[in-house]
Amino acid sequence: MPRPRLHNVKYQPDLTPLLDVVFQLMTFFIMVSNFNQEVYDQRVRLPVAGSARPIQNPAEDKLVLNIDETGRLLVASQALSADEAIKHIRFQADLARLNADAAGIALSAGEPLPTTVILRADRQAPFTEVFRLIRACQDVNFSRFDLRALSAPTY
Amino acid sequence: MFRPRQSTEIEVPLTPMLDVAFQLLTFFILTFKPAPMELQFDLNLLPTTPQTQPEPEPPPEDSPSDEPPAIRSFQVSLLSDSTGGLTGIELEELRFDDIAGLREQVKGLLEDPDYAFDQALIRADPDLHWEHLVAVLNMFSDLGMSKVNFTELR
Repeated sequence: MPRPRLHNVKYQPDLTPLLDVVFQLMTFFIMVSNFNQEVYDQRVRLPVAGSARPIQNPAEDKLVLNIDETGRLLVASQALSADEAIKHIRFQADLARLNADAAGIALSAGEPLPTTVILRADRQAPFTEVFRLIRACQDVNFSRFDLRALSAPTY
Repeated sequence: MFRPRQSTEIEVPLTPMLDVAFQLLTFFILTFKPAPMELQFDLNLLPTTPQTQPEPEPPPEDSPSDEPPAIRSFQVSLLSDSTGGLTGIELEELRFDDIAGLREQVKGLLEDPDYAFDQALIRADPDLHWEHLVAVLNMFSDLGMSKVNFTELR
C-alpha cells in the first residue's frame, strides 16, 4: 500500500482558542494599566503610613497636587516655581468656582470650595514648602484635604 | 437540470490578527508597571487664622472638680536638623527622642478620663521632611485621634 506523500498533507492548526487567550490577556493589561500617570506622578515617593485608610469613594471633583522632594509643585511633569505654583492653585480655584456655578451650586464669597485637594508630597519634601502650598490652597478657600501615603515602602 | 452543489469554504486568515494581538500584548506587558496601593488621610484643616495657644495646663490633681472635662488640644513640636531629620519631639514640657516615646505618652493621656482632647496641633520645623510629619499623623490616627492640625514652628 503506498504511503501518502508528505508535501500533500495540509496541516491547519486551530488558532481561534489561542486568539481568545491573547485577547483576554490584552484586556487584562488594558484594564490594569495606569492611564493616570500624568495626574499621579510616579516620581513622587510617598511616605509610608500604615494607619491611613484605603481610598474609598474617590472624590470626583479633585485637584491633585504632586510635590517633589525639593518641595516644588509638579504640573504636567514640569516643576513650577513658588510663584507659578500659587498662580496655578488660584487658577484651579477659579475653575472650581466656574464648575460649581455651572453645576448650579451657588458659592458665596469665602465659602469653602467643594473640591478635594489630593496632596501627594514626596517623603523628603521640606515641611515648609508643603505647608506653603497648603496655605495657598486655604487662602483660595479649598478646605478639604486628602493626604496620600503608601501602605508599604517602595524603592 | 440541477447544478451541482459547490461546497464553499471561507477561510478567514487569523494569522495576521494573531500577529497584531501578540504585538499589542507585548507592548502592554513591557509597559506594565502596577501602581503601589495608596492610602489616604482625610483632613479638614482650620482656616489660616493666627494660631491661638492651646491650654496645656491640666486641672490640679488635689482639687477635683464636678465640671465636665474641658475640650483641649495639645501641642506637639517636631524638631529637625538642617538635613530634615527628626531630632526631637516636644509634648508640652516633655521631650522625646522618637515617635515611640510620644506614642506611649499620648496613649496615656487619651486613656485618662480627666482629659478630653479633641485636637492635636502639630508644630513642625520648616526643614523637617514630610515623612516625619506623616509618621506622627499616622500615630494619632492609630490612636483614634482624627482631629489633627499642623502649623510651622517658628
